[in-house]
Amino acid sequence: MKTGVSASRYWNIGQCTIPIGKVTIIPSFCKGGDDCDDCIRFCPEKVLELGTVPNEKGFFPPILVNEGKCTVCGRCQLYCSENAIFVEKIGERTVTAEEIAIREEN
Amino acid sequence: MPNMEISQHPYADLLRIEMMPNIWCSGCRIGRVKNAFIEAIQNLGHNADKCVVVAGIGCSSRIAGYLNLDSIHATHGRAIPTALGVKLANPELIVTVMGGDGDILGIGGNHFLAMGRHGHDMNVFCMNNYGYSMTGFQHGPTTPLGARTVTTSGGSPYVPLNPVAVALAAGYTFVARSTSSHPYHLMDCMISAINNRGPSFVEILIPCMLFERRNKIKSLEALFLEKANIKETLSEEDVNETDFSKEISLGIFRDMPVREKSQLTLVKPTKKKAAKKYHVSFKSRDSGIKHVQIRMEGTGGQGIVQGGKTLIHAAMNMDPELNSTMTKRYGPEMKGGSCLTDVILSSQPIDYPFVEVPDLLLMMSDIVSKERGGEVVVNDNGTIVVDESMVDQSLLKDVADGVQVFKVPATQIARDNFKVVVANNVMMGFVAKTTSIIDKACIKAAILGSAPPGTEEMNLAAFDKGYEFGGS
Repeated sequence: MKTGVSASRYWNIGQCTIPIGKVTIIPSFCKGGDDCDDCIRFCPEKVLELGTVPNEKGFFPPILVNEGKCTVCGRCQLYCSENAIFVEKIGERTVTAEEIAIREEN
Repeated sequence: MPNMEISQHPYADLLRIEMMPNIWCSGCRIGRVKNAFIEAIQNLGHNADKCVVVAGIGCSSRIAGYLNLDSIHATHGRAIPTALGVKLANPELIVTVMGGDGDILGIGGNHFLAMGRHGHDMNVFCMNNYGYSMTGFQHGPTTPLGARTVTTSGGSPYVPLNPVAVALAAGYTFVARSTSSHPYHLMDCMISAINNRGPSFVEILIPCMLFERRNKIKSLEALFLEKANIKETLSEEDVNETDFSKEISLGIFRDMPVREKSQLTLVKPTKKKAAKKYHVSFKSRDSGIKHVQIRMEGTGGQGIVQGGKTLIHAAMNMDPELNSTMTKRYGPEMKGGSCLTDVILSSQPIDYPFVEVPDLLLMMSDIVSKERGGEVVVNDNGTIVVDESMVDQSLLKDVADGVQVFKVPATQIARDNFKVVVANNVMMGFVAKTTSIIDKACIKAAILGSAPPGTEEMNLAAFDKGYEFGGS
């Protein structure tokens, strides 16, 4: 691929959609903290961040920082040993040209 | 109280929500294996009623408790035999064994080997966390060389077992290695394992917090991610690449269809000749026996036990109303040791099945009385039938005057005319002639009933020979 060519030349942006996800965290199940930060580490969109409020067991459940970015890849729910997090698809949105450009650079 | 949010979880159908949250340590990735298994079943589209999970004892065996499938929590190490019972009872089920390395390879090691040999369509998912972690991390079969555990505080001196190599040698038709840090790869392995029609084995490396702390490893999960290589094609060298400090080879080592079992016949089938039918007719009658104790003693191999059986069947033929018992005593050796058979015939119920003082003593050999110190125990009004060719005659000097003694060279007759094994039937023929306890025809019918096919003629001829000897 030649550099400097606009992404819109290869992608019909109007037809490309990405699912929008809703992330649910069950704080009472979570055992995150020093030993486990899998959902944060493996999230490709960096939706989550380590929380600061401990749950009743003394662990630190993650908090949502970029909820709109979730693409329902389902990694957090597969990687979480405690089943304390899951995602649901609530809709779809079209992709912007900047997003594709960022991905192509990567 | 179950959390309401968890019921919205995509895995909620296959999770036992009332058991949640689970007991594993923070940082333990066994739960991820459970998630991969749930995804595998959901991807395959199997009905949850057709899936059975059997687990033993251990951290990883708790998976069976958190899955909303038919599951059994078996005894320690016996998950595979229990699962085999499930599979044999209903072959349509998809049976999966979940267990740790201590459960499957340590305590149930032989079942693991036999599983590969038997070739049933079952899946064994073994979670290898390098030791017995549920009880505080003791040394196990897969503990790495030099690793510290509770029981090897100076470092393990033994080379660890390689589960994949063992499974390949044991004949598993599907063998794979994965880690809990690669759940998508693990899921693919599980799907292939479930689809394989033979015994399948997947080794799953999991990081244990206790192992990390004791051996000062910062994060085993990070090591797995760093050192593991997922390979499309694996060579024989990759089997041994299990060291997390150097390199781990992940992938499917073997995926082959189940072979047709060739039937190995060690004994060639022979055509059976049409057996000649023998028949002896007898009449049952009221015997009038009140209580008779019969003892037959001799050397093992002379047919002592068989003689007792003949006697008791003959007595039952003669008088079906009679109560009778037979007990036998012999040493560990099949041939050459002392052996005796006690038969009691009584019109009353028999309380004690052993002969105290015999009324009729059949001595095929003197080994038993010599063991007793040369004493011949018999009732004062009883009868002794002695095998002349085998018994030392000086033993009979001390018997009471009222005792009748008959002598017959039964073993000699049997050896000269037939085989030694029919000596008991020669003795039976002689007993039928000289004593009047049991009818001749009844004994012949009993001999016919117990003789192996093809030897009826010889046994009956031996009986007749003994009968003739008594008649002279």
